[in-house]
Amino acid sequence: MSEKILEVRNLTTSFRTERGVMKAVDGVSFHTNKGEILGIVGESGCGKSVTSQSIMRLYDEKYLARITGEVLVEGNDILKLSMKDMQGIRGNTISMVFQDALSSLNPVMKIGDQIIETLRIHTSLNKKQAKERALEMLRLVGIPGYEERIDQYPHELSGGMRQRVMIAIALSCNPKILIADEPTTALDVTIQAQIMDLIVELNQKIGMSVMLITHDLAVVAETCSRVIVMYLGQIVEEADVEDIFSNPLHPYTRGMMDSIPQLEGEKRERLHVIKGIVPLLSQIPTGCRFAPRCPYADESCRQNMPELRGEGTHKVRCFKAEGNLTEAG
Amino acid sequence: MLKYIGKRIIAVIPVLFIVSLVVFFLIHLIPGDPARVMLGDQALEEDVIALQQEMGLNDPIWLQYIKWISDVFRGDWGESLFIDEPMGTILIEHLLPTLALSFNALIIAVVIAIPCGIYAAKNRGRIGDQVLMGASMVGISIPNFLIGLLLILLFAVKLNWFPSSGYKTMDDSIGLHFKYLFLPSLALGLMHASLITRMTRSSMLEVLGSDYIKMARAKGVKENVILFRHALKNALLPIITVIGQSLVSLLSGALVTESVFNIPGVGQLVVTSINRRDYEVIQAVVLLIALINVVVMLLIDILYGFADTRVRMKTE
Repeated sequence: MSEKILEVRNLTTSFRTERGVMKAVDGVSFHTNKGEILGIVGESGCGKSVTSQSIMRLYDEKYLARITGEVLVEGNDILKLSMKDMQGIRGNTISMVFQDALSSLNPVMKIGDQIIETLRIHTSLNKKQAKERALEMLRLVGIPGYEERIDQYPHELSGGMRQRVMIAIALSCNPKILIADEPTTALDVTIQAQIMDLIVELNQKIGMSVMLITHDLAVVAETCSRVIVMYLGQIVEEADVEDIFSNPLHPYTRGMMDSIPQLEGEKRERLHVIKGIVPLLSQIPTGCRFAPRCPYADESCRQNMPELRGEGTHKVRCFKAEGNLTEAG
Repeated sequence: MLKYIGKRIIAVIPVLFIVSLVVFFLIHLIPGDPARVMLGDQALEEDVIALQQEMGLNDPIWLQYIKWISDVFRGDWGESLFIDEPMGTILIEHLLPTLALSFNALIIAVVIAIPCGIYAAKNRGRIGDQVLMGASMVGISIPNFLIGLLLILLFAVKLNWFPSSGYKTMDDSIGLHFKYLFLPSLALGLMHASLITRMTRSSMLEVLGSDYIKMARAKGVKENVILFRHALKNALLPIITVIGQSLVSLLSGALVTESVFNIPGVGQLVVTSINRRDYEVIQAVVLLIALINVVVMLLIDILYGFADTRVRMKTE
């Protein structure tokens, strides 16, 4: 359909730890179109945050992490860039918003200075212009009394305000891609909605692409156009947002959908859960990685690894679901 | 900020009161009668009674305290039984070498420790870090008179670069002053450098692992800027505390080092005064050291306020 702004090909990230090499992301390929919001969902520990931080190359690649594959931003592979060139990309072409705004803002720097710092790195604005731009950003993200707020420290702001400041920092240099790593998890529900509305609004206004990492399916349903479901470092299902909710194919995706508490139905009905827990990275099962927790798994699932297959936009990594796939078109 | 400083100063007043009580009672903790002890076994009874009268030992205790504290405020810190000079002169004469030694040692310690600590934190677990941590462990473990003696052996006896002991005032010659102070300052500085290095490293490690450092990287900030502007400022609080404690312990008289290098400082004054039971000098020195402690701690508190706005917000 439209232009691909970010394309990830066969991204693999492994960490050297005391207990050996752990593969946290294993051959992940996906793309983000210009101006779209792509959702990446999965349980804690499924590799969604590692994927985003690998794209930003935030890990210590010399000693800790080994990242292979390709990350193409407008056709250029940023994994091949030097760290110095990478610094020019971060905060400029690709920006990131983290989960916990309290711990992600520098406690001893005024919020204005934290925005101005980013601007001074990536643009040729002088101090005064940068300050004007910072004020404009604070106004854009909807901080009331932004003229006084600019000289305040993060601890003087509420949780929602801090998250807005972080978004202001991330968007100050007009990035083409915004990676939002669980931007609303640490906030209460009404503030969550406001922050998500803000992200959607800015996405439409500025036309940047958003990679939204979350475990909240409701947020995905409301904001994303496409969804990637990850499990244990792999993509298990990829589809347009309508398809994934109307026709979830992978047993893991279905399990997640069923786990959403329903207001309708029997009062005493027990909440559905996916059996078991995400296995440790050191104990990855051979064959389908979801097999030990899958109600449909049989011997061949435990022996062989299914491929991510599908026609058109809906793809799934499951032997059992492939049949339904063709059926659904 | 002024409000914060005001509050810190007010908080010091009760501390000073308690300090004054302790110092005052020090002389009354001497078993028996202070006058008798001061004059020794062979003293004549009328001399003892006269001294008791002079010291006001027959007055009620609270009156004695009030008299003593008002004397202290008026600058009368008592008299030495052996040194025929005003107490102020005695204290200042001994304090100057200790001050010079302390500041030189502290500067050496900080100049060595902070870069080493940052380097170790940045290269955590690698050879450089392990070497530095091993060295600092050695520095903490070796008693500093031994470091002093080893330094004398190497630089004074073998190489003959520096004098082995003694003290020259700035008035004699600035060059000589620093030449004489170098070895003792180095001996003390190395020990305190070890402590400060370890604190810098652990404080930096904690900060470098935090989310806002990750955020700074995600903003495209250069590594060096991250290290010094983002991390160091946040890591500073515990480092300032350790530096302050080092300063206090240095100022209280580096007893052993002073005697190894034969420096006429506060430490030496304390030792000789204790040996000859010069109680009023001991009392004055203890009061002085306590005051220095309180003042340094106050300065550290105020520095906290500058380093981290959260500290002063809490009290405002």
